Amino acid sequence: MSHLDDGMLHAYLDGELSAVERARVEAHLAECDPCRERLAEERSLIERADRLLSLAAPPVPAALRRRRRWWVPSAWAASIAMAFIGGWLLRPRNPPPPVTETAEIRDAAAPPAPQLAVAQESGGRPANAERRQASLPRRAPAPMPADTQATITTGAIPAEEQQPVVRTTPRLTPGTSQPVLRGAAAAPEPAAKVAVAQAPAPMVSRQALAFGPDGEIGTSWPVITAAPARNLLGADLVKIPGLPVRDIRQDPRMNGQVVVDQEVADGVVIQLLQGRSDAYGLATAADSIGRSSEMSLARESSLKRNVGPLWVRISGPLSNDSLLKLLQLAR
Amino acid sequence: MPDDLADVYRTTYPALVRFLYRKVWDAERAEDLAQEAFSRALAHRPENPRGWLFVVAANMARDEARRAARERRHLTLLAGEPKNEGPSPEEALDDESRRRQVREALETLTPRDREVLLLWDAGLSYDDIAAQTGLARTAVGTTLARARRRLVEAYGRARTGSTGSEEANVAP
Repeated sequence: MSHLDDGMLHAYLDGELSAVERARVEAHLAECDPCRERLAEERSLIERADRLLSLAAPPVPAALRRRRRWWVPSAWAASIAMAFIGGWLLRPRNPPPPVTETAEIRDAAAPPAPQLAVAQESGGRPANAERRQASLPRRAPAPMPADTQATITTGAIPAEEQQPVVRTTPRLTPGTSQPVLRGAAAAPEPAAKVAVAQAPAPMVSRQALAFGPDGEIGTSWPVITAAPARNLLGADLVKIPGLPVRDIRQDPRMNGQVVVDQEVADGVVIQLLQGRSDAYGLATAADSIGRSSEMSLARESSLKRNVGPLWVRISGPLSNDSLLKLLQLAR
Repeated sequence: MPDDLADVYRTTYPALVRFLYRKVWDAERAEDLAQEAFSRALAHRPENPRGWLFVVAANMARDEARRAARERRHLTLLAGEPKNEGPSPEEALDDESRRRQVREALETLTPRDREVLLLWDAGLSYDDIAAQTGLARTAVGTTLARARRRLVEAYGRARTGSTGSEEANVAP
């Protein structure tokens, strides 16, 4: 038998040769030193390749059962958040009084509108605009509670609801000067604190908790895998379908909050901040809206908005067109 | 679920998820697609469920990748900062960074080579791989040899920053 080629060696090492072929290979190997050496090389190559592939295994052990309970509201929530972002850009600068908005949120029970549209908001009624912008979910899970939809749109929060937050931010390289972004990110911070003060006593404003002094969510939060994230949330993760997940991080400050980073395009990352409903309060973003509205719309570099269960923030030089594209993607 | 398919489910599900993960790089999405592939298998009751599952899974992943790529093209309007290229020395030890580098190394393979490698890793036999990819059975070994070599070399380049060092340490 002539010298063994790579294909033969690998088939032999993979155990895929017939008994006859195997015998012939072994007979050759007994008499051929170079081929024996090559065999050892190929064996270690296979081992290295196997190790690499195991590195690229999914980070979560495969579950035999998958809960789909939250798939719809999450996808929907993301698209609503997106729609709201667009509408928020266009809104007039009058923030609604927090109490009113909260009450309105609680009472609302609007069914979803079939169209996903950029909201044209009248002054100070972001909750209304959000209801109009509800889009149909991609998939309908069987046991979806009726008030889930209303919750997503209006902010009423049953105990077990999950509250996703959508935030997009360009990945900032160190040394990149984006003074507008930084400044804008800093501006709403006082608003966050104000919102805390105005929130009802037993509730905690997520805004104050979610944002550090630099306005970024969780870039230094510890990375966790999907399984503990699900345990933390008590539900499935909220993700925008079709986008790769870069990582999942846990908020070290607050139990039950995680952020899911997804890659929208080169340099743009969407962060979905989500957590148990009992970790969040019905903090209204009235004051953060008021603050943020001080920024010019044309150079809108940071939006922050808490609308019921949705906590939305965009960072970066996004145009309205880009946002509309994002809406379509989220849909 | 009928017994035969239940067996297949039990033995193949983890491999199918792993296979899909290396295509969509999203653990939950991989599980979603695996579940969907199995439900389709329930509906179609194919003769060779195992091979059939991987064909279906590969198609679903490919369709999804195409859809995602189309949508990403629409997002080119989004301004953003260019990514930081290459891991920092601290990051190099990170699991996440390693996973990304393996992923990038896999991307350097041709689609055919990558497919064969992933199918083998998913536990398919040469016969199944040949049936699914259309390769001759004798070509499967050759393709695997080439794919493995290229994977290790590409990963070694990424890790050491040099060209194809055979001493690149790939210990996890």
